[in-house]
Amino acid sequence: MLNLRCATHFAAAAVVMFAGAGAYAQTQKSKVPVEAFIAELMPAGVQVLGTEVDGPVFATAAGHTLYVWPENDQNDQGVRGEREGKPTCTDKVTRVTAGFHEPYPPNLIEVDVNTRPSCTSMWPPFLADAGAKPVGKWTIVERPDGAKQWAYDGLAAYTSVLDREPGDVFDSGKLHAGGDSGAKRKPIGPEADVPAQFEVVTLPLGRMLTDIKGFSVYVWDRDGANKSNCDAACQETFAPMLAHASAPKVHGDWGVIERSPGVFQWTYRKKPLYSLVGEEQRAAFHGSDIPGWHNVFTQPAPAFPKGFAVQDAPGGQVLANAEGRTIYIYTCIDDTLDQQICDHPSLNQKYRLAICGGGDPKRCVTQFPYVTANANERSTSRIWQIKTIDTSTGKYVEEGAPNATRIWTYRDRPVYYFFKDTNPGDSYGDSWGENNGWINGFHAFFTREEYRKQYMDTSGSGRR
Amino acid sequence: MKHIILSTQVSAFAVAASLALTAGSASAQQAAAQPAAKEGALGVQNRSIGYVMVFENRSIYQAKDAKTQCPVALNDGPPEQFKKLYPENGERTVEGTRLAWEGELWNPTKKELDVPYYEVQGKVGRGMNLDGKVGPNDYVDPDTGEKGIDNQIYRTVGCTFNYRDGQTSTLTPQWRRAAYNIFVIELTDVDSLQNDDDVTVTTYRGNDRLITDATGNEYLPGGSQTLDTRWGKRYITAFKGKIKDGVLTTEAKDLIMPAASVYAPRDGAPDILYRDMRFQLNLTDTQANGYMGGYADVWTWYYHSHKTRDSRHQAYGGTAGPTLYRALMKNADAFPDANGQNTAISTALDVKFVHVFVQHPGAQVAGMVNHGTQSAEAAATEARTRE
Repeated sequence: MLNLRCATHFAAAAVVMFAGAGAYAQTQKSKVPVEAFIAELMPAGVQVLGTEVDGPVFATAAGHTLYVWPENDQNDQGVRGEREGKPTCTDKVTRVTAGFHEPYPPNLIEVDVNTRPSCTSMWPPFLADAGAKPVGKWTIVERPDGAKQWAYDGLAAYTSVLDREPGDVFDSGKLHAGGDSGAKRKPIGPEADVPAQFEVVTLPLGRMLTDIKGFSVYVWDRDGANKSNCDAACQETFAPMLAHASAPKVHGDWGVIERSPGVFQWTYRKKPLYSLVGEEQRAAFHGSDIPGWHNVFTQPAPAFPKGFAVQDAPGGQVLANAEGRTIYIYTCIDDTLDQQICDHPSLNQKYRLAICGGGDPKRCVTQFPYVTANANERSTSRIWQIKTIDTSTGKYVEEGAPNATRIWTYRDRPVYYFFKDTNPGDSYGDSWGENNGWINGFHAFFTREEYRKQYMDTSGSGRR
Repeated sequence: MKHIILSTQVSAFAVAASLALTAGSASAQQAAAQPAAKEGALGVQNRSIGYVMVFENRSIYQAKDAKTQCPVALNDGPPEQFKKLYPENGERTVEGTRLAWEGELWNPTKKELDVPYYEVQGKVGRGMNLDGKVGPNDYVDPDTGEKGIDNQIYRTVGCTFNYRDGQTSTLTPQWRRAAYNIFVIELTDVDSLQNDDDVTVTTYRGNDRLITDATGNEYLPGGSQTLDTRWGKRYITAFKGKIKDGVLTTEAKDLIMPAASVYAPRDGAPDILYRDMRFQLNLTDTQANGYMGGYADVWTWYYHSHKTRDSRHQAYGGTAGPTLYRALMKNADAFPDANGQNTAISTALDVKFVHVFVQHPGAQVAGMVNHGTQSAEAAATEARTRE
């Protein structure tokens, strides 16, 4: 059996190329192991690569991660993105705003309009050869200029100029954004190979296993390999994740044990799986608060740089430096039909400068200082890298350039402190900027969010 | 952890009852002061009583005729100011308009803006006399005639629709339903809810749901609240107070209140720091209603208003950040900085609480102790180790 979700995939997979399995000797590979996934039919020239945070993604033969641009109609502010079969991203430079971002009117001239890239300069379409044929979920759509483009699940596929190495997902990833955060590009990839009653969610800490409803699953230190020691008293708090008698006894990292006659329990990497009885928050860590119990990651994210630490804050846990200063990320998407991102040092910096310092770079550096790296520190992964930036322009430069400072970056973007945070757990710079910071602003680097899921519930909901 | 909560809720009643029953042996005087407690009874038990906040709004007096308070007009919001500041008489750029406006909102300067801002006129207003004095800028309570009311927030935003009948005014009372904002007070050392010259009031964030009637709109006494002593440490503050004729008053202390908007998508630190905050509450076995008054730290108050409600939402009720900030700084009336600029502004909150059984965390439940100490990162690290 090839996967745990759908046996029919097996037959299909037997006759096509699979992914990530050495199908293309000439292709560029990611250095990140590929999380187990359900193989599916793919066009020649497409591969599946492992990524550090986003799980398996489809990529071109050259290793460029593939993205789609789904429609987004949040808050009735207008439809952005693409519909199935209708690519709209072209080489025409969009010069004015569309008016999605209330309360501002449309037709304002965009910043740096004379050097502004076109949509396809940012996201080159993944073109199909003349003789290409649809396969599996992959179809071929016609571009406005008549060219043929691959589409996945109906949505036209693109690469991003921000990705440089196989496995990079430096455009928009799978991590959840909030509020009306515009229509961002999303990486595409195969489904995780987990039983049908499980899911894998992408969190800053990694790819975490949940049940199909999104509730966390847990393992216990006191269990043995393929043996549960959770007795009746234990089961008042942690319920075994039961498996059907017909479930495969072993499949990759997955297995099933018979915990009592006729009662079967799922295991992952030989550890029996449990849910926390009565848990109400999805993708939570409440079970891990009980000593000996742990959330389960199919692929943990790369470790934070040495000296970084997670600390408690009023809203959960945030990433901080060794002195307890909370770390922030900047996010930006513009108000054009292109929905271009504006949060990368290679792009214009005027949105960021307006929010962090009223347009004054010096004030920006004072209020949102870069997280600097010592001379002896080195990049620890693709998502946690040390770069050199010109603090007066916000652009990456070579070491030794004027105003050059070594800083830490996350997903190829600088990370920051906030000047008003004085005590560990302070995160006063969170939600700082337009639309609660989601379209042009800063957010604390949350690793655990205790209250977010209940925010919109005003029916008297407590945290639990 | 539903079963844990259910267990603690059940045990809350049982513990409260058992503690109340043993209170008599601890102090004959206390026993004489209280009726014998029974399981689930409301009111003071074991010399303590808890309440959870179910309503909060800024104390903004509204005259029958708004023109007496705001004779010129209510304030412009972002779209109206945008049109005046950046008229449509040529090419308008993002940098020269939207980013200039947002830049000023998030990084306000002392630069004058060519747009009007209207403050409340007149001498009538509600709130508390915070400094014990009657000053030229103070108000007179329209109902009691009390003079010396300090409420410069009212002066500052009383002519802004958001704070009268607009969304900020209508949504703020809902704040306390949101999980982030559950606000509990526990009165301890209480001998009587009528007269007691030495009680302690401790504030906490709570973890549990508020209990409503079947309509979902009216909050009922008698629920329980497990105190959040992990994430909500900064909200724990103890006030000394006294009760006279059923009215609780406390000393003034700095207090951080959780104040996430019901629409805020994220849970950073949407908190407001109040300097010299104090309580003035009418107490019963089931309710505590009245005022909380103090000096709102201008920085946290201003940025809270914009981090929880951005320009788009502020546009619904005429709140324009840059002019608001200037008015707040002009009317700030306490806690001057080294340059003599006051950093806090007098304010009052209309508040309502209902009785809850307070459950302190850490009790052993269902055979397991919830230490609440392991971080999410520890879970990921553990996973990396197992890889």
